[in-house]
This record gives sequence, structure tokens and C-alpha cells, in this order.
Amino acid sequence: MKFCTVKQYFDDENNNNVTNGIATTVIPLPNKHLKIKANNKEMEQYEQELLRNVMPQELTKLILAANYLNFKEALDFFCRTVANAIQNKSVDYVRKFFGLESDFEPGEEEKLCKEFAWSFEGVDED
Amino acid sequence: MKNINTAYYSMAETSTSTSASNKNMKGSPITNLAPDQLFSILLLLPIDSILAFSMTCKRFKALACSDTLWESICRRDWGPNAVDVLKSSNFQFQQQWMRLYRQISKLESVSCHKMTYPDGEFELPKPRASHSLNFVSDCLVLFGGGCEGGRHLDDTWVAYIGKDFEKMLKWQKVNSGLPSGRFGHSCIVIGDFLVLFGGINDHGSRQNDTWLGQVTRHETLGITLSWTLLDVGTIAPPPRGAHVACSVNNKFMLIHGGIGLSGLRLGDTWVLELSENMCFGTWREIVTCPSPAARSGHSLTCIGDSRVVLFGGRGVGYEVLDDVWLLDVSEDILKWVQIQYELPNIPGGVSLPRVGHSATLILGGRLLIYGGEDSYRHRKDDFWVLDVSAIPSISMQPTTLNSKEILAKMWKRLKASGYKPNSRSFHRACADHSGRYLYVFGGMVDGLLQPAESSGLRFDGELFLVELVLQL
Repeated sequence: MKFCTVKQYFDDENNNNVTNGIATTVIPLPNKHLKIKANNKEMEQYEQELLRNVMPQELTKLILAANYLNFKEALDFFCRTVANAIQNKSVDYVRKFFGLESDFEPGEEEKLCKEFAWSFEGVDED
Repeated sequence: MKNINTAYYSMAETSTSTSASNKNMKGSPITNLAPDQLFSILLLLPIDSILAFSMTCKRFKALACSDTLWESICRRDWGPNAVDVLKSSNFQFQQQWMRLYRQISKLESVSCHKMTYPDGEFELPKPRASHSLNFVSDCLVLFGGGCEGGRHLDDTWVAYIGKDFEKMLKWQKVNSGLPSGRFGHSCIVIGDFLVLFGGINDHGSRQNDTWLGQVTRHETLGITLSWTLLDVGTIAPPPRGAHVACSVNNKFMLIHGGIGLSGLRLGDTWVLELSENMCFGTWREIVTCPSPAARSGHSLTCIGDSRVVLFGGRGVGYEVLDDVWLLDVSEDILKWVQIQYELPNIPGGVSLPRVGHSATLILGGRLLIYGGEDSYRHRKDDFWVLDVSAIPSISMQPTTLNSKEILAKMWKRLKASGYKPNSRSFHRACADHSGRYLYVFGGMVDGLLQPAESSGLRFDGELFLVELVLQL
């Protein structure tokens, strides 16, 4: 099924949000995945490499591409990579990582901080 | 899949909010991910990271605080059973899963309720201690125990509870004679079966037989319970009483320690595996080093995920213990790991060492520890929550926990309101379906039974309910 959708992708002229650059990263994944499936450490290294070389924006595009291609293993892998990148990080770090800006009213963020204080323990500084 | 493309375009076209959100919309592809994909990422994160994510911007606050997501988080952290029970029960929480999760995490107090019995002539179970009390097939089941004069009991009592907690209960005596009378036996639940092991009778004989009990509810005959002796072949643990047992993953039974022949305290660990048809069992011993020292009157509880927690008890030198040990049954090489902690660093921690307490799994995956007695035989009435998940996985290696923050999460003494039951030890407690209610029966309490009774001991015959207080 994986290869069917890949073929469809190449034949499809209307896939605006899956650029060629993304395709070259996603397509080789099945082979790499199969090769290093048994070895968790290598997968971790590949993940670190990915995080270093690929901007967070590109990472989210990878997720979209993997979803479009219906490639479950890649989707799981990219989601896990994003999760590991933002785990135990502060709000500012997460914002910077995704290129977001706060649109809260002044004081609203402090309120939220108090409301959610019950869960914040052992969070890393940037 | 193609829908994502159209969603992307329609969002960009229809966005008319502030410039900041516009910036967010066009600048970061993250906002193009469908809620489902964002949920996939969030479900891999610990709670504090999910809430940090929700504080990045308004859109993500709405998303990360949605009850659809939080129902999945409850499923992830509490198990699907707990969530299904909550959904089908009468508990009014308006499906506000995030609020419920917070309330469970912040649990600060319990409320006790005295049970009432319907009017009329109904026989009630005699006061007793070191009996067994279990919740199985929507019923509360009580068996055996020791009563005044040091005599054993061999009666089985059943009360139908149903899907929601009841403050009024009707006990029914269903059996007498089998299994033979005993106290200090263990009884756990696997599927719809009770699995009873060992115990001591009033001649002082230790047992090592295993019994299966099954509840049946007839329309006309009412409730019956049948006990059958389990065939375990030639290998069985040495006879004992005052040991502990728990069911793991609803498939295995794990036992530890107890008092064996000649009154010697044991420190062995055994696993019973039952056949598919529940007609045959196989025992095997687990030998690890290090392992919890020999002891009796301690507690062993499964906290889900194949992990069991052992706590307290009385050791070989008659000392009352406070150590906490963890065993993960799913690992290839089984090993007991001690979770070391500094008692003086815990508020009220000096009262932690105990024997004859109960440790029950409650909603949220933590243990509710109640009662027991200390080395001076003073009986207790305090409630503690033991949270082993608070310990970072790194300290699965033996290290000592000193950080006050981690300790504050590991041990927490709860306030108790409502009815005040007597301090007690060697009582029994079990949770209902929901994990929000605990039934407690019997035990040894202070007070003279008769003027002639010099030991100051009294067996209690009270059944009361402990409710987790959730301020919703």
C-alpha cells in the first residue's frame, strides 16, 4: 500500500504542500527504518541527526507529508521526534521551536500559569 | 489526506484575527497540522509539557485543553477500564476530563462513611481480623479470619454492590466449611475468579493450598459462591500465613514472604500461572538479589503495567519496616528494586513504618495506605498516598531520594473527614470498580472486649466506606 500512494504522489500534479525536498527525506525512510528497526540506539542517533539538520518547520512538513503518503511508521517517528524535542521544556522554548507568538491578553498568561501550576515540576530551563 | 491541503488553504484565506495570529498562521506549519496529529504528539508527552504547549498561544490552549484529548490522557495514565467505568457510572463530572485529572492528581483528602444495613433480621459477619475481602463480579466477598479466643473462621459472605457505590449493604452467608478455616491467608482477583492461598488455622498449622472461588448470581437462588481446590502439581511454595499476594496483569498471582513452618519469617517470591481454562496452576519461585528481607504483615499491590509495590511489614528481628520495593514482571530478568528515601525529609514521615496495614490501588494509579500498627503495637488511623510514578525512571537504579520535591510527590498524608473509624490493624480493604471508593472491614482495634481480656485487643466487625474527595 505504501508504494501505491508513493506512485500516486508522483503522478499527482496537485500536491502543493509536499515539496520534492520533503519527498527525498520521507521516501528513503522505509528502507532505513527496516534496516535499523532492531537497533534502538541507531534510531535515536538518526533522530538526533534529523533534529540538528532539519528545522522544526520542516519537521512539521514531514509530518504532513508522511500523513499524505499514509506512511504510518514515518508519521509515528516524526511525531515522536517532535515530542522528544519539546518534552520538559519551558513555554518560551516551545514557542521558539515552532515559531509561534503569544496572542494572549496581558495577564492572561500569568493566570494560566497559576491554573496549571499543579503539573509543573522539574521543568528544564532552555 | 487531500483534505489537509484544502484545510490549509481555507485557514489562510479566512483568517481575520489579530496580526499576531496571522503571523502564527502563515509563519509556522505547525498550525497546519490537523488536531488528530497534534493529539498524537501531545499524547506522547508528560502532563506538564502538554500544559506548556497549551500556553504558547490561544489556538493551542483551546486544543490542548479539549476534553477529547484529556479523555485519551486519562485512558493513557489510568487505563481504559477506569475510564469506561467512569463513563458508564452515575458520577457527575460532566465529562470534564481535564478537571477530573487535575482533581485526582491533587487528591488531598478522603471522607469516611459508615455503612448502613436494611431493616429486619439479617445476620452479620462476626468481628474478625486477618480475613480476606475482595471485590469481584460486582460483589463484595469476605472469607475466614481470626476472631476472639484466637479461633479461626471458615465462613464466606457475599454482598451485591453493583455498578455504583452503596451505603446500604445486605450481607449473605453463602458457604461454610470449604476452604477449611484459616486466617492470614491471601485472596486476590483474576478475571472473575478469586484465588486464595495459604493461611494459618487455630491449631497453628500453616497451609499452602490454592483455592479458586467463583460468584454466580441466579434470578431465583440469589448469589452463590463455589470454591474449588486448584490442582498445582507437585511444586508449591512452603506453607505460610501473614504473607502477601497480588494479581499481576489479571493473569498471574505473585506472593511474597509470610510466616512459615516453625514460625520462621520468609522472604521468598513465587509466581502462580493459571491455565487458560483455570483448571490447573503452575508455581515457580523467583530468586533475585537483592530482594526484600523476610517479613510478615506487609503489603503487595499491582499498580498496573506489570509493576508491583511491596511496603512495610514486620521483619525477622521483630522490627517494623518502612521500606518500599518495586518489581517489574514484564522484564526479561526479574529484579526487586528498592526505592530508598529519607524518612526525616517527609512531613509526618515518622509514622510511616507499619505492619498489618492495607495498600489499595485507587483511581490515578497510586496506592492508598491505611492503618496498621507500629513497633509499640499502637494502631493507626492515618491515610497516606504512595505515588511510585513520581520517581524518575533513572532511579530504578538504587539511589537515595533526597529531593524534597520528589519526596513530596512520593508520600502524601491525606486529611480525613466524615465518620471517624477506630484505629486498626490487620483489617482488609478493597476498591470498587471505579477506584474512587474503598470498602474496609474488620481488623484489631483498641478497647477491652470483656473485663477479663487483658490484652486490650478487640476484634472489629465494622464495614465502612472510604471516598476519595474530588472537588469538582
